Amino acid sequence: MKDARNASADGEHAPALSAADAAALDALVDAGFDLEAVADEHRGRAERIVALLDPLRDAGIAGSARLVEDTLAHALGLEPHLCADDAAALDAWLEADGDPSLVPQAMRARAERHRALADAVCHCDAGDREALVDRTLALVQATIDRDAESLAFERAARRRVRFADVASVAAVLLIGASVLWPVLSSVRDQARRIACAANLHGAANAMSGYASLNQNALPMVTASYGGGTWWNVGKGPDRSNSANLYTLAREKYLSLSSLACPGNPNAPTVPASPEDRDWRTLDEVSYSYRVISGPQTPRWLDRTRVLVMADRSPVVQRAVRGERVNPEASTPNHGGRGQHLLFNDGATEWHASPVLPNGDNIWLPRSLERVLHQLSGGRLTGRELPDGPDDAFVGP
Amino acid sequence: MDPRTDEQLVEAYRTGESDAFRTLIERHHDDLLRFLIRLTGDRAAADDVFQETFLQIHLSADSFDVDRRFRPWLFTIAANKARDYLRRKGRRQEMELSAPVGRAGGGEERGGVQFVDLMEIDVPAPDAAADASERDRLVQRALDDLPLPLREILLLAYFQRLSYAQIADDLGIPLGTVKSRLHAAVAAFARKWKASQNGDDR
Repeated sequence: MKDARNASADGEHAPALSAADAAALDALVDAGFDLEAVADEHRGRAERIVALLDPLRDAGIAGSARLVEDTLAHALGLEPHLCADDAAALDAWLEADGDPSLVPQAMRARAERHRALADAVCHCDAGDREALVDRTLALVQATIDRDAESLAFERAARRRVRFADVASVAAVLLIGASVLWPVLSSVRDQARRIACAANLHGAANAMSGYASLNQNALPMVTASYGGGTWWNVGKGPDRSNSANLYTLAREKYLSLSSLACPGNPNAPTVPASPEDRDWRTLDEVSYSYRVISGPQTPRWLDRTRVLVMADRSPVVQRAVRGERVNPEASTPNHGGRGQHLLFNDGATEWHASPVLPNGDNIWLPRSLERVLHQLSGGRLTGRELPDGPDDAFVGP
Repeated sequence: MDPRTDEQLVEAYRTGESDAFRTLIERHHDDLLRFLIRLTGDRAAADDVFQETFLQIHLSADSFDVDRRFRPWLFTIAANKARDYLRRKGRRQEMELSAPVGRAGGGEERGGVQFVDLMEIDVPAPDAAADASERDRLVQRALDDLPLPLREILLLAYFQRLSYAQIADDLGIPLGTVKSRLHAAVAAFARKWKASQNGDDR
């Protein structure tokens, strides 16, 4: 037998043809599988190849050199065959767990041969047992030690990373919150505005009911404020304009909660006492009401369209405390973004500015507006009255 | 000698008894090392693969199903490690197409197929061999000439003496394939052995 070469670049384990057989196969393929055309030096091997390929040719794979070579090599790997008796004896011997004495008599001699072959293969010098056992245990121990070190390092790393993880997660949450906050805030504001607008619609219905029973008068418990101060909430009907509006709740035209804007955290939704005739403090009041001024007071569904109710005045709140006011500021109920207005025709509107399209500032009487206009300053004293039926001017 | 089974030793090792591992290695040292020497054809390589095999046993001990047998598991892991070693070595089996035919004898040819008859072959007998090391060398050379898949299944069968069903189960290949492959492996080995006996080689 010629020396088989073991070196191979691709490292496959599939059997490969020897160089001489491969050359013969190439020659055969080049010759179109015509043995006559194969060079003499390859002829002998080519004849064997053709013999082996005969069964394959029927399968239609001949012609592809690589495929043929692989198939051929594989076929060679299965050659030669055990004779039938040896095959049967091998099966019986293995089924007998390798003990020929357990194999049927007729096959025993061949089973012994199988065992002899196996024994020849299985018996070789195994060398120094202790040395290899010790080396193996040392390798395993080294791996255990390395894993332990690696684990310790990973744990340490994990501890270090944990802070970074927390920080990064926190950063993500903060960024997320900063992005979402205005959105959520806006959603909350929107909800408040809707609830507030519903309040004014309810107030419009209540005023309509009140007016129908009171000659179209607006809610009123005082005839006039001739010279009195109207921003003293809770100090009695003669000293508080808000007591006029409270009448709607006291006389059950609406519930007190309908006069509580969601934008006012201090607004009571139920009366502190059934005897109450007014809110108790200015902070509790959610809506400013047309400053009632006796005979000049406009009427519900009057020919003149005039403001009846609005989100609470920021000007009065500051003026009461003696602070300088910004007449163009919007109500605190809706974050200063604007206010709802209810007119005596029952309509409610959202206005981003307290100055109506006709230039009338709803927080101030026209007289003061004129002075302010002239002086670019001035103070509201709580004694001012509307300049006439068409002067939009609301107090607490 | 530890009376416990291999499987019980694995279980003990898993629960922290490190001596159980030494017992396992010692118990299988001879057979496994011989198996690897025969499979790789290289004593130093067999040493390395032996260690890698038990390292893998250590690493996989927790996943071992103690209801299964340890020895087939060990040999299957060893065969895989040896295959990896041979792949790293870039070793490729080559066949000499013309050599076996009509030279070694010990059989008959029908339709281009050689049939081996063991009764016509002088099988190697340990006690009859004048020189054990020379016999080992000849056996190894015959094995080295076998394609790896055949050598692998031959050695697994010889060293474990398992039924086809057990081999098929361990290797995860169909029983019919195990049978035909082992038949071919024994035939090829017997023929190569015979050829080496006749000095009809190299």
